Amino acid sequence: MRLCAPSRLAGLFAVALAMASLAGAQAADLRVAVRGANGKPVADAVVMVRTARSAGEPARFAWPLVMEQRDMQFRPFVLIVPVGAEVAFPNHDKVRHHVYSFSAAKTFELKLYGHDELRRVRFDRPGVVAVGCNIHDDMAAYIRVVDTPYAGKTDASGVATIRNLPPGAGSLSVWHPYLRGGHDLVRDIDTPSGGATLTITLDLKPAPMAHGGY
Amino acid sequence: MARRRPILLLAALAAALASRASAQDMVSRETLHGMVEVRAMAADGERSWTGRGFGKTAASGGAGGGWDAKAQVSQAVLEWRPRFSFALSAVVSGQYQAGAGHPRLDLDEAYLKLRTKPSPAGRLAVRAGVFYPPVSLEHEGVGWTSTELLSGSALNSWIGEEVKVGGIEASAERRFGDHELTATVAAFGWNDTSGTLLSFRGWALGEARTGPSTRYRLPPLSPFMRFRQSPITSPMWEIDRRGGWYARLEWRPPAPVVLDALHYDNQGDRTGVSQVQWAWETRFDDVGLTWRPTPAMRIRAQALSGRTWMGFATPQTWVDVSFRAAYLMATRELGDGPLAPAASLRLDAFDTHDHTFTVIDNNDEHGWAATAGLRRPLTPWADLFLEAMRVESTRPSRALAGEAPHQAQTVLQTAVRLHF
Repeated sequence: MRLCAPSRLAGLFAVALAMASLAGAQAADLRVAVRGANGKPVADAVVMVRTARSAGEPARFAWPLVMEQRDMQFRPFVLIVPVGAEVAFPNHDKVRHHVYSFSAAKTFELKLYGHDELRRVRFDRPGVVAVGCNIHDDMAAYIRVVDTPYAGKTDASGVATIRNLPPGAGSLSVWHPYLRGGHDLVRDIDTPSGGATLTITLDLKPAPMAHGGY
Repeated sequence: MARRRPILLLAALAAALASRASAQDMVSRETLHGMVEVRAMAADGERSWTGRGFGKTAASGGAGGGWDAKAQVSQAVLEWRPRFSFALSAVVSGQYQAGAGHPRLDLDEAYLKLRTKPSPAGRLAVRAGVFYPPVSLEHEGVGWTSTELLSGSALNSWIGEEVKVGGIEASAERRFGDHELTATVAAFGWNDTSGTLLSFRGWALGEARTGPSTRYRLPPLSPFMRFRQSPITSPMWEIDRRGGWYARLEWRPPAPVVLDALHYDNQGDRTGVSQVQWAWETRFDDVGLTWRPTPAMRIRAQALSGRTWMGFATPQTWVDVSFRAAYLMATRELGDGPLAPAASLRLDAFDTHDHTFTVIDNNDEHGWAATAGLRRPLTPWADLFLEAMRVESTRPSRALAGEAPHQAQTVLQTAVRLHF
């Protein structure tokens, strides 16, 4: 992960900070809206916030730590899990899959398993884990293993909300599987106690085309 | 010995691998796939090349060029893709075809494939056996069948008929930033007579796939050629014991586009001969483009240009023919989900130019075709196809079959494909 100089990011993102009420809450909600260069909402972007106190805080996310195989696709396309989490890989397809990753953050191989069978994998290092199927080349998904409890994924409207964030200085990182260059977009933030809304613009490349059969 | 087939060696190797305890997946739903097609077709115009005419499709018109119709089980394919380990797999496919070639039942492809694990340095793949060079952008179905239209383009129909090799191919796939490049090289044999059909018959639009034993009957030959060339051609014969090669580069930029270019040279000995079938020297270049302007639309285009020679130089070489073909095809999905229909439109252009002995053996040709089709999935295992095609071409050698040089044909087809 690297800190990007604002000058280098000129034209890539715009930030609109909206102040909310200054009630004496000790935790704030940070709403991050992610847009593409064409202004359209970007789903499946991972938004992470690190603060001085976030390291070592236990992370518990509201979504299930499950990467299922259904209709010859992995679902969800992007899954956020905390470091140390165990992820379930149930197969709901009628055919068998051979799930693998050779990413630096986690290398694993789940040899062929079939309908309604389940395998589990523990992810113990932060980073991006690209998941594939050795039988079906065009199945692809991503697991983002995070070292902060303050993380979320944008929905279809391109919005992720990080709840109960300690007010104050922090570092915001945004990542997407199709982000040009592949590195997190990083920005310093100062979250007011009443919460805030940010708009981030990502420069994404198009989704890859399916490979042929040769 | 005219033919030395690699099939027995491959079969022995595959059997040895299959017997190993570490074999991961030999027979299952993932390793066995098949397709059966029932097709009805109606056509006017000239007699098909499959019936000793010069017609450009597998369909023949009726008496006097009027309409004629037929229905049949037109093809069946069975494909086995065993997997021996993460990296090692194989493909063996067999086929039944009611169309052009004999025997009706033949092997299609048979090769072992080694593909390394992905790494930051990229991915390597090697395959060895009998396979199609990676030319066609249309044949993505089980057993090298086309998926959107019943009739292949002129360009790829020729690949299916006369460009099938036995050999070894290596590919290296690597990312450079947001770009992905795949470089492929291959050394091969068993493709010595490639160019025979293209010269003496010209281009055609169909679904013929050549197996190791497949032979085709040629249209009537000129008096000059009649005693020099067998009336039969066997595209997968090895005659001159010289290897050929091809090289290909594929580029995937950070855009919904894939570009590829391939050079093929079978390095045939033009004077090598066996059973009056010759080792043709055939070279060509092919470029291809796939573009998805929207998620529901796919544009494919290919262009191929080459030259083929056969026979002794007296002083002109008996046959010296340049050939070109190109097509542009658009496919649009009409709806969402796996059962959404898809409509396709393809325009073909093709020609051949004979450089020698044109007074007594003229193999010139030029023509075009327009094809419109609809694929409508009925269930997850059955597709209905509707297709209309118009082909027009001019070929002086049609006089050998008592036909006028310019011919036009309309072909209407419908088919149901059952697959698993």
